[in-house]
Amino acid sequence: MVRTAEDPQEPVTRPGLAVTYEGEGVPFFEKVLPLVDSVEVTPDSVAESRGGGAVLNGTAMANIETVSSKVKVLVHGVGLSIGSHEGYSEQYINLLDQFVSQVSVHWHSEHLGYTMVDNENLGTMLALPKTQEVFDMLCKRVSEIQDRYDLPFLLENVVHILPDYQGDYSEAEFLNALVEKTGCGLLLDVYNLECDAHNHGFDIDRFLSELDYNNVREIHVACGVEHKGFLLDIHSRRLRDSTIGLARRVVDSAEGAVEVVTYELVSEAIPVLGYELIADELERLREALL
Amino acid sequence: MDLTSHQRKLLGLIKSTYEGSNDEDPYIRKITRSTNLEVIREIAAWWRALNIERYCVLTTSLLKRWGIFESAIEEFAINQDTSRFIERLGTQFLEEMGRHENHLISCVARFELALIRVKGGDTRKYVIEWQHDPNVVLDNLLRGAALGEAIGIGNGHYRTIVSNEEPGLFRVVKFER
Repeated sequence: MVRTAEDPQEPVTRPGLAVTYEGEGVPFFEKVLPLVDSVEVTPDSVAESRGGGAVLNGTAMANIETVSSKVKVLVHGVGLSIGSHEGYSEQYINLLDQFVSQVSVHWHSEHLGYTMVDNENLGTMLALPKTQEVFDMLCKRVSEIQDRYDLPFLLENVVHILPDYQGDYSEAEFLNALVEKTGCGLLLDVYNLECDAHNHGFDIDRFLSELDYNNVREIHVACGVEHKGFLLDIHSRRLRDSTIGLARRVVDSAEGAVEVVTYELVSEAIPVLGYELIADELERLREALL
Repeated sequence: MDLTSHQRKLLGLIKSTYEGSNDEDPYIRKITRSTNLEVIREIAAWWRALNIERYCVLTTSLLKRWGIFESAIEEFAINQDTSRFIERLGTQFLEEMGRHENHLISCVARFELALIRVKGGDTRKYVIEWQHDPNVVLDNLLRGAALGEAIGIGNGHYRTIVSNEEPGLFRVVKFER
C-alpha cells in the first residue's frame, strides 16, 4: 500500500501494484520487479506431478524466495476447489503447506468456484449456486482454512460462462454475507464483472451499490479474448481502459481498503506479450490508480 | 436441486456423458443445448490440448499430421478422468495413445513416453518394436516434414531401445525375422 499526500491534512491511501509471477528469472527481475510492490504466485503453476502427488518446482521456488526478499508474495490458488460438494482438494492444501513453509506469504486467496466433481477434473472452473446450502458449506470450509493458516484468506468472484443458477442471494449479498460470517477478505476481479456484464447482462452498477467495500483488499485486472460472442477470462491481453476505470472506481469507493491491484496473466501469454509490454501496462496502471 | 446433483449433472454435461434434455430441472434443460455449454467444453478442451501439445511433442505432431489430434483429445477426455497436472495428463494421454489400434501411433506414443521417463531418471530399459524405420519417422516428425512415402509401407522390423545407458538415451536396431 502506498500513501500519497495531495492534501497534507488528509493523507490518502492508494493501493500497491502486483503482477502474476511463476518463478521466471533474470528478465522478470530486471524489467518487471522494480515496478511492483507485490507478486502473486499460484502454487499450482509452480508445481509438478511426482509419484502420484504434487511437489513445488525447485527452480521456480528458488526464484520466488529471491523475489520474496524484495517484494511481498501473495498466493492465489486455482486448485483448492473450495466449492466441490465432496470437499476441497487435499492435494492443493499439501502444496500450500509446502509453499508457506518455504516463503513468507502476505495473504492467500482462492476462487469462489470449483474445478473438481467427485474428484474428477472439470477442465475448467465453474461458479457456485448462491444457495443457503452452499453458503453454509463455504462458511465451514473457510473457517477450517483460516484455522490452518495464520494468514488472511481472500475469496474471489469468478466469471460465469454458464448462466447463474437461481439461488437465495444476489452476487453482492452472497459476498457480503460470507465476509460478515467468516471474516475473510474479498478479491474483486473487475474484469470478471465486465465478462459477466458482456455475457449475461450482469448489472455492475447495482452489484457495486450493494457490495460492502470494507473487505475488498485486492483487485484483479486482466483482459481476455472473445469467442462465440462470450468474453472469456483467459488472461492474455493488454488491459482495456474500461477495466482500469472500473478498478479506479472500486479503489476510490473503498476509501483505502484496497491494498493491492494485480495485473493477472496466464503463463502462456507472458512470452507473447513480452516483459516490455507488461512493464508498460504496469506503468499505465500506476498512473491511473495513484 | 442440491449441490451434489447440480455438480454431477454439470460434470456429465461437460463430458458429454449425461443427456440433460429430459432432466426435471429447467436449469439443466436450458443449459443442455446452450452455446454457453459449448463454450465451456471448448475452454476445457483448449487447455487440455495446449498442455498435451507441450508435453507430447512427437505424438501430437503425428496426430496433427493425420488430422486426428482434436478427435483423439476429445475421445481421451470422455474416457478418462484427466489430471490438471501437465505431467500426469501427458502421461495419461501417451499411455492411451500407446494402446491405439494404429501401429505407428502406438509406437510413437510408447517411444515418447519411454524417452520422457528415462530423461526423468527412470533406470528401466524400454524396447519398442516398429514396422516403420524409427529414424525416418522421428526425423520427419521433428522437421515437420511429410510422412507419406518417406516412411514406406511399414513392413520392416525395427526396435528402439530406450535407456539411460544408451548414448543419446536411445538407439535403433534393424533386425530380420
